[in-house]
Amino acid sequence: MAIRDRFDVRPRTEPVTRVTDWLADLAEHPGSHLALLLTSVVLITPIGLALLLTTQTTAQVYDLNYVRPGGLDVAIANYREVLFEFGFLRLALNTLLIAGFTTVGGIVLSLLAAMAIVFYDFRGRRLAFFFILLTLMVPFLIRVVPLYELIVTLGWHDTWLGVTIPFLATATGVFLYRQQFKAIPVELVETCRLDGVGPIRFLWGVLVPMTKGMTSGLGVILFISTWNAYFWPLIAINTRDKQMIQVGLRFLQSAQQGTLTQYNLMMTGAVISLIPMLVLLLALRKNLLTTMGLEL
Amino acid sequence: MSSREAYDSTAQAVLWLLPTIVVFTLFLYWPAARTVWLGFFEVGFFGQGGTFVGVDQYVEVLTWEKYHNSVVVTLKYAFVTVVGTLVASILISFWIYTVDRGKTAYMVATIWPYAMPGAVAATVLLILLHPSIGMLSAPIENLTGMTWDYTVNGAQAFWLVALGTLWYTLGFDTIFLLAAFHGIPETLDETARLDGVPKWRMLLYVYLPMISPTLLFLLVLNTLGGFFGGFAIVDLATNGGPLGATNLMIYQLYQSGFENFDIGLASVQSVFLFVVAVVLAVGQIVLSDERIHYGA
Repeated sequence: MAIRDRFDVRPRTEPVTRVTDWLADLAEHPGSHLALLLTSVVLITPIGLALLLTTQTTAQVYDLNYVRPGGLDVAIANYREVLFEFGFLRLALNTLLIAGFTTVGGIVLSLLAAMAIVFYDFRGRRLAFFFILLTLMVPFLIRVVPLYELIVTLGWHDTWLGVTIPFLATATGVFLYRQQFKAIPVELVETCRLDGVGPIRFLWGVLVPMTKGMTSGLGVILFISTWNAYFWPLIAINTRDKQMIQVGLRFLQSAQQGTLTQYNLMMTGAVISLIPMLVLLLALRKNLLTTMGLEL
Repeated sequence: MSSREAYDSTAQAVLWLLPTIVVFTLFLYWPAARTVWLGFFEVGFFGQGGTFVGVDQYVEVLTWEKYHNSVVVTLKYAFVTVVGTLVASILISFWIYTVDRGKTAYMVATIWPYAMPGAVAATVLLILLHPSIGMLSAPIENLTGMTWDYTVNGAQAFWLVALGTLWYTLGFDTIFLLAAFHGIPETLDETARLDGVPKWRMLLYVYLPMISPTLLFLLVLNTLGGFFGGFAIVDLATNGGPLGATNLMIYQLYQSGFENFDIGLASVQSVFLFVVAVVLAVGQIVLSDERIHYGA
């Protein structure tokens, strides 16, 4: 929050309302407001149009002069068809479970690793930290071919083990928890030690409650990145019933009605796989943004 | 002596670190190292032993004309997305920084694409910009006078992929830049306002140098993203075409490894992709080291 001296405040000759505040700000920065409004419109319009197409029949999508909603019954039929006949409900549940497990696992592993690095005095502490940090320089694409081979060898191909276990450890998580743990007052740690608080109780009773906000922010980051995964599930999973939701959009490309491609259903699938992430982002945005360094 | 290292059991520390270390060793470092090794073998199929061919496959990929095209396309794509994302997110976050009302609303309206899966962006754009039924295609043709058909025009397909990427990568950069802008000391802003310095000059000569550590961080991350990203959008919207115009290195790697099952050739491409990206990322860090202004 900005610190302002008394004399900085605009003299209130007229009753200040939200509206006059807004007008004053608009007059002061007309260019910024206009530019932000335009940018927002450009970024949001495609999704608005996508939503519109999910209410139309395939024939209406093909009719370029038809640019209004096709009707609630059509929309319901579209969403029902994609959710049930094209299995998007199943795909969404699969992805929810996979992303949920990866997120919780990632948080637990990061918590434990960061606790060892910050609160334990042992040889190889720095080495362990650099071992973890260096993984940030090893992108997924350098290891994808042997990783696939390994998954096949382990018998994890076409199972959820193959899309979760290899991604449980996260350097970002360890790094963020390490920062937070280092900010915990030494006195508190000292008191716990003198009181004979064991590591498990220390973790569960002190560390976990103290890092709640960051945990939910990290959770959002991990959940979104797993939910949005496309490349790895595409090659690691073959059976349609076990697949993740983004790859489902590939199945929908072959949806045909006679000679027409059912673009309305493709849009419906896109909206279904986008909405949960948008809700998550909006609901937990404060924690997410704080975790990413933006104090609100 | 009071210290944060309250516990000294090496065994316990190792136990907490073990899950993270095991996952990273087994699924990250080991496959990454094996990639280089696999490049020396000509392998028929996953899981089968291959013939040692030394650097033959590395040379083969280097002299492969189709791959040359992929490298050029990828460099163009990385350049456009890195510069585009940075410039756009600097402007957006600066505009939000300058206004005093509606900050949160503008922020939400511009950062939400962070939650958008690449596959969703691809699906939405490929339908809205479809040459015959796209709702945005007719306006584009009327406005520019050109024929819009990304299925035959390589340049248009390239821009579809690049702008689509820009759309869903912008939010991430904007979040970090907002944090950086709002970390600038208030007094600086006040002084400039009193002196009547134009905002855009402040941005270029004062603000940007002050947030240069964040800019470098994003530049490096975006560069890596430029080489490893864009897969979903190419796979769903253009399939690398037309005539290789969007055949990114990552997409060629996927085709070699997972469509033609040429493991050796795919591994070689992983190595090249890694080398190019890491050389550029490290180069950026080294070159900018002298110009970066750490701490305010």
